[in-house]
Amino acid sequence: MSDEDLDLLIAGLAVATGLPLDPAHRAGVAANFGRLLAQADLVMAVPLPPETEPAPIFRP
Amino acid sequence: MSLPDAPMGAAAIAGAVRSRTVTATRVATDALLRIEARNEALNTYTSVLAERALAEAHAVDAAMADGTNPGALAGVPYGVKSLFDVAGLCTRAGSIINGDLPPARQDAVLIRRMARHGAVLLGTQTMDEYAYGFTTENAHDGTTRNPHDASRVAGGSSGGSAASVAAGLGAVALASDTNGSIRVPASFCGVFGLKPTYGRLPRTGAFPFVFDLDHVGPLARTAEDLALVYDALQGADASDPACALRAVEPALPPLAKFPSGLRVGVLDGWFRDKANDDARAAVGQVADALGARALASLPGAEAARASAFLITAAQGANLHLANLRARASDFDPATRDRLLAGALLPAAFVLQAQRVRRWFSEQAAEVFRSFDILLAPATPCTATRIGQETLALDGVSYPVRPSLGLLTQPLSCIGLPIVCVPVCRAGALPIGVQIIAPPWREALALQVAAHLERIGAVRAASVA
Repeated sequence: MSDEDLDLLIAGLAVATGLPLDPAHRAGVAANFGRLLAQADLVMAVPLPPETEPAPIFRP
Repeated sequence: MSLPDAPMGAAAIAGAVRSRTVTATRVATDALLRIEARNEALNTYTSVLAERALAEAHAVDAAMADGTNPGALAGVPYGVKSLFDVAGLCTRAGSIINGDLPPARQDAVLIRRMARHGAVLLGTQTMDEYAYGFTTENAHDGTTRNPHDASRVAGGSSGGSAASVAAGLGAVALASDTNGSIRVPASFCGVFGLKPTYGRLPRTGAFPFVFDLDHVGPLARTAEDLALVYDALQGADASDPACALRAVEPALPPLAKFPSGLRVGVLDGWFRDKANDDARAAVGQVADALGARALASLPGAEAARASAFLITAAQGANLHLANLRARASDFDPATRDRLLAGALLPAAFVLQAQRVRRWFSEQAAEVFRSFDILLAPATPCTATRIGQETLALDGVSYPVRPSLGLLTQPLSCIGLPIVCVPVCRAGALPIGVQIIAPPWREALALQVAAHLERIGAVRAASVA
């Protein structure tokens, strides 16, 4: 993803989340969001069988 | 009697107080003097509670005078990471934002348990803002200095707690570990740390960071002290939804025994690749001392670390979303940008991360069919310099702040109990090794740590 696309993505997600982003914070947010996307690639690459439940179990 | 120059450990203090060799008041006064002498240079305590400490110490001495048993931690002075509630204090958790919260009405459950056993609270300790960091370089409170080299960080996020224990500004400390925040500073400061099984100790009254990953536990200068405090802290608490309804399983009584035929494996792959020569040598030293020759493979560590990374960012951000919207500039800049980015994560990534966590937990269970204990470095390297931006591992450059947890994050991600033991070599900075046990086997990990200490393979690093 180009830097421009990343900035557009962040701007759109920020609107959807109702999170105003100060222009002064955008570079730091982009660097961290890019790092998160790289981590997301790693978890999305794990082939999981359908029966693998999410880890937290709610016990009422 | 006058106290020795080297600060005493928790078991020694409790023994001396209960045998009337020294008073709790004397011990507390001595600890407060040490803090006064060294805290400005090290920046380990954010609040020193001298009045409370002396009152608690007087109560222990009064109990002794009455012939009442003051408890297993009689007169043991300790500090707590500044995310634990202390009655009458604002629980700042390293932030300025929490300064707007009302003071805590009561102590955190673990502090109440320490008090019930006669321990004496000295104060609250420096941390990364909201526990989101591995270096304790805090924009509001300053940087905690490593007692072994003031130009280096103490590790984080429980840097103040580990550095205080290393420097003798308290015998033990209570801290939290979400991604490595007990084990990383224990490694850098050369002390023992216990991250119990997820759900073992109640977090009630500890300011949260990541509900799915938050653990609380002790730091100490000996394995015995770690077990002593851990036993005092054990017990279910219904106010923490994650706290397991398990009976207390004392670690101190079996501590002196070392199980025969223990199958110890050295984790390879990710846990070897993401470590420099110092870290590998430390693991080798511990493995040799245990006669461990076998390598253990735990597939999926990188994905587990990624899961922890994503869950941390998303849950941490959700916790702080209102303040991120209203007053983002009041956060520590390092914390702020991570949290803002975490607030934007699509659900698909976070949900997959939770399922990967389950899958990785099954991988670990499979490895524990062949091994009783696993070994891995706690940190990729010894303490980094204050302000250092990158670290090199096998010729590849990594950003320091997120990478100090490369070896701790995959393991706390699945809640395994781990004792971090300090390895000290002449002329070198200390570094920790993780003694990793199957779920709920803290006592076994502590037995191994105590054995290693008895045979001289590990020890807390002394501070000049």
